Amino acid sequence: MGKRVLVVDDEVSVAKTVKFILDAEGFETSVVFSGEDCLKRINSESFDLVLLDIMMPKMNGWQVFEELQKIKPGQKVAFLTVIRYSEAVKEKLRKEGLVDSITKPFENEDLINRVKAITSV
Amino acid sequence: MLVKELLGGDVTPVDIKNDVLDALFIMLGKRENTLPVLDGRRFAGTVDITSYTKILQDMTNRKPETISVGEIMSKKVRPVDPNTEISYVIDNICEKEVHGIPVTSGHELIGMVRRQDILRHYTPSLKGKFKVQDVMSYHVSTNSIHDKLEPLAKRILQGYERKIVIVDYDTIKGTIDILDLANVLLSEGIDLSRMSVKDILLPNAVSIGKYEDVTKAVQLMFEWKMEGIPVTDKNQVEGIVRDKDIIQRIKYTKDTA
Repeated sequence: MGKRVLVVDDEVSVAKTVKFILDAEGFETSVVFSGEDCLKRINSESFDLVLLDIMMPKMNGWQVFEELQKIKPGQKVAFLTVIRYSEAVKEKLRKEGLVDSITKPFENEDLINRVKAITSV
Repeated sequence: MLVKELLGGDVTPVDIKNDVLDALFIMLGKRENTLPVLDGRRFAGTVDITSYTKILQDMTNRKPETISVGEIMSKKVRPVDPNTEISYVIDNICEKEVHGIPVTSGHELIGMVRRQDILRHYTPSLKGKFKVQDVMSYHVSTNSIHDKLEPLAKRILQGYERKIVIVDYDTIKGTIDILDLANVLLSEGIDLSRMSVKDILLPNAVSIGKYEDVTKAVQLMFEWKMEGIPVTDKNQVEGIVRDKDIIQRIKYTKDTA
């Protein structure tokens, strides 16, 4: 059974594209389109990685990240974002529990390699 | 009514020795504009998102991770005792245009009364009495979704605007505020002059009609976690209704009761 990945992105096309790419590599990928739905899924299921968009309406990725740390400490989370965060920001976020920050648009190979690296640890 | 009856317990303080990135992460994670600052266990002051964005405008000299919260915190907002009358806090929030007032017992922080705490308690009493047009502000800035980001960002970062409504012709596409910009400005080597509004716009195209009950505006603010909702009439942006506008109305209603 493949590693389980939850993709959280309000842009349906992005979420579905990521699912398509990862499923083809043997991952078992689920998608949700809001932060609220992410928290509902996390409460009832286990995932090896949450790929989390930052810029979402209502509940943004920062808010979801903070909630995830509370309800499921140790949950691996990687940002999936158009923002190329500075090294200082990424370093601090790693201390908070973030495992990676993948910048959109991404190369398919890069996405696959990084998700493999994170989920194989 | 006393402050302790309305005390918002879910408050995350930041230590005076932390750097400003730590404070910003909390603000972004909670969508809070203001945080209380502690020196050990003692309340020391508050740090506001505008203090952070002032630093960002002067980043040639120092990076935010090298600046401590203590260097940018404000002592303008004085804390209150839990037995203070809530009307004093409402007056303070209106007059100083702050998002919340810290509450201390001795020197120890025990919570904060924020705009949302006041709205949550008093809004039901406004139901059926006021429409959005009674409290809204007609001063609202709009930008096209196709505009360059930099001029808009400057207006927000320099404090001329808190929230700008983004339209595509007459259709509301969303809003941009200081927290949205703060998130973008964490980006490495960012060049605002090469970005357009649509690059950072969230699809939060919510609005309210001017004849709607004011309680519906509050409901939308909580649902969308926004402090201001664009107001429309006949599909045209006519203004904005902000949490502070409604608190002003609550204050007026209490003063004249």
